[in-house]
Amino acid sequence: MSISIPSSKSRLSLSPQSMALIGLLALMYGPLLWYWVDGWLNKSISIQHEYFSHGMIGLPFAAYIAWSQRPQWKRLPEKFHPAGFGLLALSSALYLSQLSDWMNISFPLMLAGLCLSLKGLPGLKLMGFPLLLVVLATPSQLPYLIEPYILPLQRFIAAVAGFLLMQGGVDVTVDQIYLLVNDRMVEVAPHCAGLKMLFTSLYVALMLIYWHRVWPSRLRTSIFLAATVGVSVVGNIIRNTLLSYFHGTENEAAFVWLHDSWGGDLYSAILLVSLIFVLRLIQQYVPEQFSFETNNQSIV
Amino acid sequence: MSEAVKRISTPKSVVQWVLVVVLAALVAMVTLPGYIGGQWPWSTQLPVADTTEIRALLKAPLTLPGWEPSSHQEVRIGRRPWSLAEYQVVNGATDGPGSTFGLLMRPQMSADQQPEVEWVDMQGSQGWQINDRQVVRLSVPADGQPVKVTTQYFRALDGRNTFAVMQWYAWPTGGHYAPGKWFWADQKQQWQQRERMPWVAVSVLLPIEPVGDIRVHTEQMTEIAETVQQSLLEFALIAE
Repeated sequence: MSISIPSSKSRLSLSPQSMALIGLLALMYGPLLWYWVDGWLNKSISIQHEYFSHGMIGLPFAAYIAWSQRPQWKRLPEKFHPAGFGLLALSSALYLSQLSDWMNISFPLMLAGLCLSLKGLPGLKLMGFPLLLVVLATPSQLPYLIEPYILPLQRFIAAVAGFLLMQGGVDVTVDQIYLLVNDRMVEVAPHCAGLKMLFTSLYVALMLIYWHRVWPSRLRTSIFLAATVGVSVVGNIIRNTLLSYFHGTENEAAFVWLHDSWGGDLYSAILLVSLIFVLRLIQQYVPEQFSFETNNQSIV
Repeated sequence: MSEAVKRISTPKSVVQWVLVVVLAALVAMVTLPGYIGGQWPWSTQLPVADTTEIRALLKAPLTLPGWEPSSHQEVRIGRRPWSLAEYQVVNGATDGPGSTFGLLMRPQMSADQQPEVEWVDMQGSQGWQINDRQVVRLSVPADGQPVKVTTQYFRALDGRNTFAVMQWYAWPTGGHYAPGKWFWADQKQQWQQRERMPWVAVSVLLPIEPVGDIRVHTEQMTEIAETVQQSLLEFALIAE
């Protein structure tokens, strides 16, 4: 045992237990994560799981944040929190169930359980944001349960798209969530209604908020989140207007391009990039917090 | 001092080793068989109980005691195949309100199909104006517990006709008009039987007097709906 080794060792190397834990985690969840990514890329996953395709950017980002927080993690005293074992037990039970929906959910539970067991609450807090990114990117059946409740949003989008088309001189009838252009019907379906786009936008907004350290200002954060919802809804109204127009005028090629092909991806990418500009504007023009001009009052 | 440090540090690394052992056990039980067999739980779909009988609903009308099918055809609503049958009462007046009704059903075709927006599709395709929406509960006897069904009941106007409409998703152990209820029944089935829960979307259409009151037909509709659920349980939705 020499004295010089520990200092370099404590910074760079991992204890055998940590290596074993990381190795086992990779064995357990590697194939599952690969299945997610493969499904998102090839759209071979169910439509509910496709809602979480933002995980393709979110999961690497979460891993990067967690990895760069290693020094802080090491500095935390080892502390065991009993809730950690609770989460681990739950996660193990879900993993053992061999039901794919629940095996997915066992992944974030396992990570949170490990944080709590190894470093207690401070550990969970330190890894809170990357864990949040993982939770929100974990495919579940939640969209299926939410879909029936977004009918009002579908109706709203159909109504506004109908209004826009009418302004453009197109003969259109709106019935509930259906747009009738030249006797051809377009349905504003839940995932077309931008529920997926809304999820993705909010997820990207969350990453931007973290990256640009906007979160200390609650005012800017809430304005940015509200603006994100706005951009995503407006974006979808325009998209659905275009789709109904293409469909109604029998421009099938343009319809397929925007609906199924890379046109849709391009459209989403443009919306997401526009979020960066929205954030820039907010940082430039919105103050960190409301300032009540108390100075003036004291003068008067 | 070194003793004190030791006393604190030992249980900590015990925690770490316990974690390693727990994960290793999970790997041995679940993950290794996957690596060896090349078959992962998430890439193999759980089967749904035999859907042959359910899919047959598209080909032939459902047998309903006390009623006789007068027509049957496959129709498309929202790009999905539905079975449309009309029934005539066997004993009694053969015309007038209550002597005939329509039955629209969307059977599940494969394990990956889940109840979705059938009711909206139907409303959209028929151009219905809907009002007087209410919830009607019914139950059918079965071995063991009676099967409970919660339906939505409303009046639909399509410009020419007025219907009293009763809708629900039927499955072997129950029925409800909300897809979310089927979802949890399906989850229970997955955990207990390692199988998906089969379902059929059912819509009973009773022509009534123009812009009439559906409340006076509630009793008859409930009876028809109970007969339909009963027959589905008997012929199509076979419970394990």
